Amino acid sequence: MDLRVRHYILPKEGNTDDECEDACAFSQEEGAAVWRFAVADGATTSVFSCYWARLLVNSYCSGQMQNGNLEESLLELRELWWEHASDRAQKWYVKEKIQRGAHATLLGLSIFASVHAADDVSPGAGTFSAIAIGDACLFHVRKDQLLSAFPIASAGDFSTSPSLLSSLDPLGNLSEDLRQTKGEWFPGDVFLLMTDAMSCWLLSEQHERLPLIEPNSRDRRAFQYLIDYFRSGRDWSNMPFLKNDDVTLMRIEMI
Amino acid sequence: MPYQAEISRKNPTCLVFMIDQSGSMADALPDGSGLNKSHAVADAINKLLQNFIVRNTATEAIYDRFHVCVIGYGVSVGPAFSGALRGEKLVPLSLVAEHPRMETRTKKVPDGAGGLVEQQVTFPVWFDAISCGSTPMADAFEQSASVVSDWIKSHPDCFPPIVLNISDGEPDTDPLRQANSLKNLRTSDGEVLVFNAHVSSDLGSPVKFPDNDSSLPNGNARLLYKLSSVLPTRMRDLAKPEFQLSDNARGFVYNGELVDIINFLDIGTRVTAR
Repeated sequence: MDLRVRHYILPKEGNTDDECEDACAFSQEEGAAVWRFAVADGATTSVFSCYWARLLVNSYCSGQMQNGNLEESLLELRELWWEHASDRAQKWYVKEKIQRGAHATLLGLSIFASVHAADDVSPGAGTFSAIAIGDACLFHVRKDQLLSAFPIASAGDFSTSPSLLSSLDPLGNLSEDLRQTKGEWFPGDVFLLMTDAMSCWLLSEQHERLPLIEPNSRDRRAFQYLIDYFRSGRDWSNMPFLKNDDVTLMRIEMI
Repeated sequence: MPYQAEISRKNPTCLVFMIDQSGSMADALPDGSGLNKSHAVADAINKLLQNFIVRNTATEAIYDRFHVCVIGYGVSVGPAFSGALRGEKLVPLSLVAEHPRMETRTKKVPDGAGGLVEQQVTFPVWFDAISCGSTPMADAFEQSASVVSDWIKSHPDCFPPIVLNISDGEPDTDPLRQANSLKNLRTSDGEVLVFNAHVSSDLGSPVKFPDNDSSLPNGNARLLYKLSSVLPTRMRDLAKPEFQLSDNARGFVYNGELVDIINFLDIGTRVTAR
């Protein structure tokens, strides 16, 4: 299974790279039979949320969250987060804030080689499966057309309070909040993983905006230009076309 | 559309608390808690500042999205921070966070078996209870206007400054002119927001976030209503999950109990979540 991956993370305008609370990762299982990709968006309202987001994406990509191990993995990650945060909390306000935990959305995509596909899969196709907690989105694109958007399919469905994985009580609403999907891919298909601001931007005008991602995902400078352009542009109600938020894009092209 | 500006370190705004420190604030709250009004208000402001700082704490630093001013009015009118910040007019939030006086207090928490146990907690204090003198609210509005006006000169595009006034009584003189001067100040994102809370002196039904003055009992209450800004949509939306607020609800509480004052401060400062 061959594929081409590009990924970009840009901080909110006015913030430094260090202050960006998005995280992304990918990995290839031995033998190239499975590739895993994940993006996570740490909530700005919590502390050490970037560390929490990184723990989540790395855990997903290591395969630990597969095969029903999600809950167990989260419990382990919670301990790692607490150790990290409590070691660093010196000031009274940081000590107080870590009691409230860190929060992040998570989107994970696993792509399986066609050789491992089951009998009921179309000839020449491979399969994929994805999980999502919150509003980071997966877009499946074929021949420049959007085939599916997961877990949110309409720009109007984004809210200011998405489901989040908490470092304190990661199992709280897990069964309610966890979304899952699966499907088939063919060579030439493209998968896009994005955190919420860019997902919402794409879904608002998908026919006009989907083609914009392609030429602008070749290098970071062009990508930054695209994001800056839409952050500064305003719609009829004077709202920016693209919310000023951390932005992550992973683009995976199946070859 | 006004009140849309992002509040960020690059484009911060300011919060002004105006606190009545007149002699009548020494009277007990009518709720049987034993607290007097000045202590209850001081605790409410200290708790708000604490929550506000924690809310604006990003991993290991405080983001200075807000600068804070506390003006007391009673025997005199002026900056009301105590301790290391005494005399300071307008202080970035990170500096406020570095200079509380830490007090140890006891609070009761669930013991996990249906009972309560006492737990020692540290409580940061920036503002002490004072109750002495008259109610020079007009002068306090004038000082607030001066602080806010200077702020706007250097931050012309910020989310409009928010002024929260807490009082228990009648102003010495009519503050209408001074309050209107303050309300008429504006940034490119809208007019300054002025919210007023009247602390209860007797048992009676509070009027909370009204959208008209028909239920207000006297001219003083109607004046404070008139001086209060309509809550911007963004604030109302953030408060919606917990509070029922009409579209024209004003940032105004009359005859409020302590919980109403705490809610008033909370709703009036809900502008960070973007």
